[in-house]
Amino acid sequence: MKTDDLIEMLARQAGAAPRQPVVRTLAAALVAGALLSLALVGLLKTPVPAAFWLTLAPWIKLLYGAALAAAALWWVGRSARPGVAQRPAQIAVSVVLTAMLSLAVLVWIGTPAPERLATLVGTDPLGCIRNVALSALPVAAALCVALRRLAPTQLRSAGAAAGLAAGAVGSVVYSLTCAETGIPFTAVWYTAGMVVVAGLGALLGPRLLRW
Amino acid sequence: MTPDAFEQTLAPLWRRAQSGDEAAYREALRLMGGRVRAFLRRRASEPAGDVEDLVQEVLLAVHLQRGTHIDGLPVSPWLLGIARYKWVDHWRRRGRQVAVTDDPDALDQVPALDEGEATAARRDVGQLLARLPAAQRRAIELLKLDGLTAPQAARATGVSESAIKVQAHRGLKRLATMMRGGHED
Repeated sequence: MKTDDLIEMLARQAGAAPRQPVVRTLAAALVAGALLSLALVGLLKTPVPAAFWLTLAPWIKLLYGAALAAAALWWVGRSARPGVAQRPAQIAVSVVLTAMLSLAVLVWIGTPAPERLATLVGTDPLGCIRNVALSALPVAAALCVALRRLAPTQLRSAGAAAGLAAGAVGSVVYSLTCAETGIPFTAVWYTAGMVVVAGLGALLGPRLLRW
Repeated sequence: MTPDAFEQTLAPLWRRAQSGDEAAYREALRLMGGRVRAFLRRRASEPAGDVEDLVQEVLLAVHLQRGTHIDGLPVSPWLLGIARYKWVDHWRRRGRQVAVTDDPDALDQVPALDEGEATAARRDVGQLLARLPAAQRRAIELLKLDGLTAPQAARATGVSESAIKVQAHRGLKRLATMMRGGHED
């Protein structure tokens, strides 16, 4: 078939372009992934007691996870469109990360010296990394399927974005069951869990996201 | 044609094409094909038939992914983003590394657009079409080759309009996979 014939075939009865496939595909993946993650975490963990929500700690985790998820999903959306600069979304992600780390440093400084280590190390920091990463996996898988149906052209960057977004959403889900109270703890170990998933995404993106 | 002139010619056509103007879409795809051919010939030291295979692959990707272009943004960086990706993917499938520019602005700096004539592609899309599942092939034949409208095609086959459109779209997606030499799932 000649290229002109192919063009003829593509144009015929083509109709209007699909509306907002990027937003719709990613939104569907986000909902599916988050529900799966909720189910997984709900099966394996018990929610924090209701009284815990009267303190600041869980809200900080939620807010941090949600803000980072928003910025990272914006990045995923941009990475799914050819010819669109990634930089603005990467800056947004850095702003959220920097804000959280700055808050943690302020809290650290404001904490009496003997209690500082406890606000950072909590009871199970490595378990936290593992749990955030595991909670992120269903979301990461869903975002991967979604991106393959869209048009990412820089696969390493797209993989990192999807991993970070999945990590952030996973951290929101996991935070519903996490009784750690330290803000420095959240800033370091939650972030570490998300970075693990983002790193995996960057590593596997070029292989998994080809289309 | 300079890159600016190209964009100024393409953008209004593309806008009309995106809202469903078939003639504008045909014309936009022709322009895009010429631009992609020039883009690839500047880079590839391959036989023209192989380049033409890639041009066809890019045009099919343009069609399947047209919804990912943001209305109002320039079309060239979007188009060349796809062309560059498909070119890199082409080399990776053959186990070679290529230098990749991440800067969408740099993509726009292709100066001269000596488009040249299309040569014959090596791979025959018609033969790939013949390998599609019957329902998908039939939908593509009716809608995209015979040019029937969806209601006409639905009457001819006894399937619903939306089902026949879905089959045609799935067929094109599978065609894109077959072009890459991948699994036909």
